[in-house]
Amino acid sequence: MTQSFFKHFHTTALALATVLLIYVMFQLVGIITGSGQLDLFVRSPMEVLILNSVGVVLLFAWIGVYAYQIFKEYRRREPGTQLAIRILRNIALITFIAIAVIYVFSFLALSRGIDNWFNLQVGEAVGEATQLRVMIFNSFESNIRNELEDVVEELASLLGDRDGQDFAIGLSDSSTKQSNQGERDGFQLGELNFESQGTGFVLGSASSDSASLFDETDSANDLRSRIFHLIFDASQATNYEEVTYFEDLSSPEGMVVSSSSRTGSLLPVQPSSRLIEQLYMDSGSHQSLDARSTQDSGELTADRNQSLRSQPSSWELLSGDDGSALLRMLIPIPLADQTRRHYLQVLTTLPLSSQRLAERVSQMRERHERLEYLRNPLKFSFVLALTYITLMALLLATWAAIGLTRRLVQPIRTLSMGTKAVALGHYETLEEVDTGDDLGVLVESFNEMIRKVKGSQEKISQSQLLAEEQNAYLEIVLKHLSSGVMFIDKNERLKNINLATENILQVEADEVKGARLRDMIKRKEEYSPLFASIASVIDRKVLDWNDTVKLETSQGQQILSYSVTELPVPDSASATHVVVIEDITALVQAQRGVAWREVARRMAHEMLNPLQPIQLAVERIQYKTNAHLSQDQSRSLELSFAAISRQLNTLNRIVKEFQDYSKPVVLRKTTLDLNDLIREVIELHEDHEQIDELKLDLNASLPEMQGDPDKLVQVFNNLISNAREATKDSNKVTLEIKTGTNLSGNIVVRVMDNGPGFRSDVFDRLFEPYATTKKQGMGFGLEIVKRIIEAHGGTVTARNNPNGIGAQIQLEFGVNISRPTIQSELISVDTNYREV
Amino acid sequence: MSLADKGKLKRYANAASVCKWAAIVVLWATVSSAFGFSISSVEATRDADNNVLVEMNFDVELTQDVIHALESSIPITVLTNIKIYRVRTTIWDQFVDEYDFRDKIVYRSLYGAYRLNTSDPDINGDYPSLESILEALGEKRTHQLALNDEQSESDEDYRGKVKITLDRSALPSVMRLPVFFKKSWRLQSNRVAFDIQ
Repeated sequence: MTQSFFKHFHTTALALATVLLIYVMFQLVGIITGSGQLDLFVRSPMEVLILNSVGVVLLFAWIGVYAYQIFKEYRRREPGTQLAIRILRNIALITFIAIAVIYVFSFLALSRGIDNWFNLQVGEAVGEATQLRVMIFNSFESNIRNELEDVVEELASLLGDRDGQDFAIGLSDSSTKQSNQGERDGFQLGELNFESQGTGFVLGSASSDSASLFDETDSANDLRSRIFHLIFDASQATNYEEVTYFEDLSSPEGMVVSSSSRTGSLLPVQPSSRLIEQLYMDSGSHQSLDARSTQDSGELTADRNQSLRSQPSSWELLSGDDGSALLRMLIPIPLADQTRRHYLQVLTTLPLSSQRLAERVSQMRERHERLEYLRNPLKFSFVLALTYITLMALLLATWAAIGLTRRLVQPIRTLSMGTKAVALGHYETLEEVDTGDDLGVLVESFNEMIRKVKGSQEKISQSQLLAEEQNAYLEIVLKHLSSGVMFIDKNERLKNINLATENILQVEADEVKGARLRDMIKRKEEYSPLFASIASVIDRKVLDWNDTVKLETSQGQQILSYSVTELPVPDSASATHVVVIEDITALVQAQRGVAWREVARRMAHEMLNPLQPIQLAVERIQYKTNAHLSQDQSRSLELSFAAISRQLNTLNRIVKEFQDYSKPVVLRKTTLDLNDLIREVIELHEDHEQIDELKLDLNASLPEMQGDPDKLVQVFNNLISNAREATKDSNKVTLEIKTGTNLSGNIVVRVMDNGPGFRSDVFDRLFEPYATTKKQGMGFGLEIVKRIIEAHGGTVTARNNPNGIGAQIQLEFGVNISRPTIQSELISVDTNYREV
Repeated sequence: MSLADKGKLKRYANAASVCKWAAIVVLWATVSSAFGFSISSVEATRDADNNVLVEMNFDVELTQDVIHALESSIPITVLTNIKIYRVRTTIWDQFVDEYDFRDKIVYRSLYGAYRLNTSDPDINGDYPSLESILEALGEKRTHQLALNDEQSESDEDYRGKVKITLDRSALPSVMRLPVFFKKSWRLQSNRVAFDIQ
């Protein structure tokens, strides 16, 4: 479950982050466009910006962590990292280029679009509408000026006549004195007194004493009266809301004469200082605040028609108490003294149509100015949002690219690790990759391959095990095989030999393994004909070859039969030929013995048949001729008959020997003590004067054995006779018989003499018939001994004594020991014995 | 992870923590510093009906950016935020309620005048100049607060805090983000505490 969580964590986190960032970006766009509603989570633009920035930072950090991980994996040369970096680099590059192109063109389109949108003719139209409005108001101004031109000229005339005089104009009714505060205009008139006269009134300066106002001279009163009537008449004639004469408003002694039809306020609306300043600062033109601001923007320049006006004027709009728009116009009174500033102010209600037009134009103008002002913030906001969104998109795309890359590379990495594990001999299947694409199929195929390889490997292991078992079995068989076996490779080197080969060829396996046949010819010269023959067979590429070779070794003649067979194994590391060697020396000897026995049997049979008639015929001749011969003749004839009789006896003895030799050995075994048997035989020979010294060294603990006592007596008789015959020419005949057991528990009997020993020319044929050095005898003795001993399951060996004096025959009997074996200290195995 | 890596990671974490707090302090100092507005006097009384009458004088000085926007027909709103706390002697004062009063200034290009729109009808209307309207805006302003404190008793003591700010959230939507980056639009006074008699 944990692995599943981490497996899907990246995707889940990416999805959540994307949703969250899209939400935050929606909020950002909502803030910019004013269409979004901030909710409980995001309550201010600052929070939106912070959330966006935090998102960007977190994404940067997240990507940085992933990038660092990939970098570490790259440095560790982990499988699949290079591919991951390549994929990630390409995706990131493509994404970056795409997003950068989108960003650049969006930025240009946005920026230029907004500029173009604002550069439409709207501003110009608004300016022209404003100008049109100004022209309308200028028309009003011209009309007013025309209507009041006479009044202005008359005022100028009156004031020009008064020029240089000091006078003051007082009001008639001080009870209606009011306080007027010009604070809103920032223009302070101070305390004023006024006198109401019908619909008009005359105001006096606050600095003048109110009582003295009415103590002026007649000329001053006359002037005041004339001005009042002039203003009153003008007001009545034009139906203006208010006509007011201001006399040097900057001076505390100025006079105000006003005639008003307004009922809401008795005091005249005072001109704003800005309007007055504007009148004199810009004597060539006049403009309202609308016009001024429009002129600031370079869209409109008020053009005053100087042909209609002899003096500059200024006007402005006022908002009436009832919401109506009032046009206030200020007309200077032209005086010779430029320092004196007297004005005629006219306040008139605009026609409703003009008023609505002015308001609509003004609203449109304000809206346009607002939009114009908002152009740069709008661009800034859109670019900011675009930048954030682009950055978010880029980071999210990078993040997604990382996730995609890891998802793509993971199966490859898994495969790589799997192949490495296989290379190390670990045949474990990989974790299933649930990608649902070709990579998943690849991993599944790899797992299938691993399963098959693992199965094959197990089969191979079983086969190897079986082969090893078979090899061990074969080695055991070869080891205990009586035939020698040699394995030879294609380079004619001995790969292996068995124990029988070691015995037959008198070599050690460790010494000859790996040796070439050619080298063996030199190393073992006694067996060089054998190795030469084998090498020759292999060189001739004969598939199968059988032959026999007769060798003269240090131990005598050895007849070996060998076969060379080529093995059908193409593997160079294996043996290509197998050589089987049989030591058939004994077999040949046995065959020879059989042949000799057959010859002896036939000779005995053939010789015995004529001997009896010859013997009878000789006796008959002696009987018939003895009576007819003289004594000398008879004596001579008896000598001849005696010679014939001796020869016939000799022939009978030979025939007897042939018969004995030719008969098969038939044993009548009984349990016997070999020591006792030897003592009985010795007793038969004790009276024989030819043995000077007889030594018996009979082991008292010698085990009993199964054997034929008659045959064994014949054996020891033959051996003692042979020894006696061999030593008859010695000064002192010594005979020694020793019994005991060897390490194998077998009974060993050794018969030794001090004779000349075996001659070398007959040593190899000691146990063959007719192999004798005696003047009389057929040489069957040792051969009979051998046959009897072998019939008892024993062996006979012969050798000359090591000191060069005498010979010895050793008999060894295999025996079932019926009492505890006592190790004989006297008898040890002598490997130099010739075993037959 | 080796000990060296852990030590390096810990040093990075400490450095990041220091940077974080430094950024918070700088941001707080930048955002919260008084600029443009100042409260000269505040007095508050509470009547028997549990109404609090707050009289205050404050000075408003607009930056050229704000004036330019105002004269470009962007309405400017001044926000008066008043917080009322119940005085507690042992621990900090308990917050009771919060009141916002918004005064809106609009330039009327047709008449070349500034119109003030507040909760006080006596000062609402057109003003011919910016100086006059700002003077009227901050002079002897009175706000009546209906103290909505269920735990209120006659012998409870209250005190308040007032702060004057330029309400940037009342600006046109497209201006909210740009003004966030401009100090000239972060007009605000210090938060001034006052006792309620």
